Amino acid sequence: MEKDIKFFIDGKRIDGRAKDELRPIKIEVGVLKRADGSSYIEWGGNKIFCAVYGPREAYPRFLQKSDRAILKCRYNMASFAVEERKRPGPSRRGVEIGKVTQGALEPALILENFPKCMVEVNIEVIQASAGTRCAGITAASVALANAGIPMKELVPACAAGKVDDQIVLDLCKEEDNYGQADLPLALLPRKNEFSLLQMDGDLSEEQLEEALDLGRKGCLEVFEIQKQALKKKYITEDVLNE
Amino acid sequence: MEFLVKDRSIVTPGMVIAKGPFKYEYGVDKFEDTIISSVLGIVYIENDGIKVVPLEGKYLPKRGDDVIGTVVGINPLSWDLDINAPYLGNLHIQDALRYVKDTSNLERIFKVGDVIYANIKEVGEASEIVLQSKERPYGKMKWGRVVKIHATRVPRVIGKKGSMIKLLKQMTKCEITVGQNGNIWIKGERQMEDIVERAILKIDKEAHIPGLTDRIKKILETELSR
Repeated sequence: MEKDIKFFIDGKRIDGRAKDELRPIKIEVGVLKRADGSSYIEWGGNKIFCAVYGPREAYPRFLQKSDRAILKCRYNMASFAVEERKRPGPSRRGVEIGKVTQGALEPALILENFPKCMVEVNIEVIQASAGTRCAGITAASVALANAGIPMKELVPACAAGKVDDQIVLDLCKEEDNYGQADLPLALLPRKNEFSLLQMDGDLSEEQLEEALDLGRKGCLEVFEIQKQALKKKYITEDVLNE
Repeated sequence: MEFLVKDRSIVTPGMVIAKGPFKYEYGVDKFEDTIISSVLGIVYIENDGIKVVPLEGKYLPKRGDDVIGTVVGINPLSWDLDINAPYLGNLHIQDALRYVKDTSNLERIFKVGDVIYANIKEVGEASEIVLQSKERPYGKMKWGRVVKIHATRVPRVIGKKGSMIKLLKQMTKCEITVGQNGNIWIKGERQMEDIVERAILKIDKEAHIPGLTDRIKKILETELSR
């Protein structure tokens, strides 16, 4: 798996970032008209749409919960999103990411107000370049807020990892493919708890601690961008000049 | 006791609004002694009370609300109405009309696609919505058209003491009925209907910006002089 790549040149990473620097992030809110809430995120080379529908009646019926709504997440990657054509349709990876997304978002939502209902989150990856699940969760939580679903807090997500025995934030594609470890995180900022923690590769205990601290810092940066994106849509001048 | 945000500012979910024992209405969540916004909305702070009016979201049915719905299904003795809420509304034949001669074919009374102005009689424990349309203003809306907006912005269409709706009615001579669920029914001359529809969609878009009535008045004046 490992390849001869120089991950660090003059103390900077392949794409010129510092160790604790995120790739540029841009979030737009309310981009899809048919959806109840939607968002579009550009995170480095990732381009992801997210649409939220609901709360609406849950189908199939046996999934309905009589005391609260259920959350359904679907993650899909377009066949043209990666370098080599991805076989379209559901895959093992897609189902897994859908499941972890649901787990990451559910503790932040207040679903008790809508018994027997369902909230659907659709994450559609148009272009992928490492860290799509984190970008997807970030976009999904913005879209949920845009849909007016009551939430305890927004959920920012961000990855940390290890390349060349050094802990770095937000892996880029080369670092993800040929690096030593990848650690996607989703944070509940107010509770200061993680709702997503996966690990691909090896990390020692100290390295894990270091990666978690770095990841938390990255998540909080993403959190600010999420808040700004939501507010931006309603700032007076922008709407009136349209 | 301190406020961490300004009155009438936009808050995002999870933002801390105040610390201390405040009264709170809706749109907020309490966590230990802090009050936290639970929706994307605008904060209103009045006499130690806090509420957050959501900017987005579906209609939440309340008892006594007047709503406008579309018939989407016919059952043996009732109709299912889509009222923009998470759940379908149920209009039983007993609550629909004053006199019922023939219950053999409900389609003769209300067809699928008919627009009905109804009142919410009850919201059950399992959120089933019981409607009624017996008395005078309620019932089937003939002709006209329905404009859909966000339920959270209905108060802006009505305006302070009905100022906005009065303005629209006076200037365009249209009949307008506003449902609390965000469905608005308009009937009048066709061109006037177009103008009202555009105005209402503009209200929907700019609901959170002050000076709305004046802006709409200006737009109506320019459109009518054309």
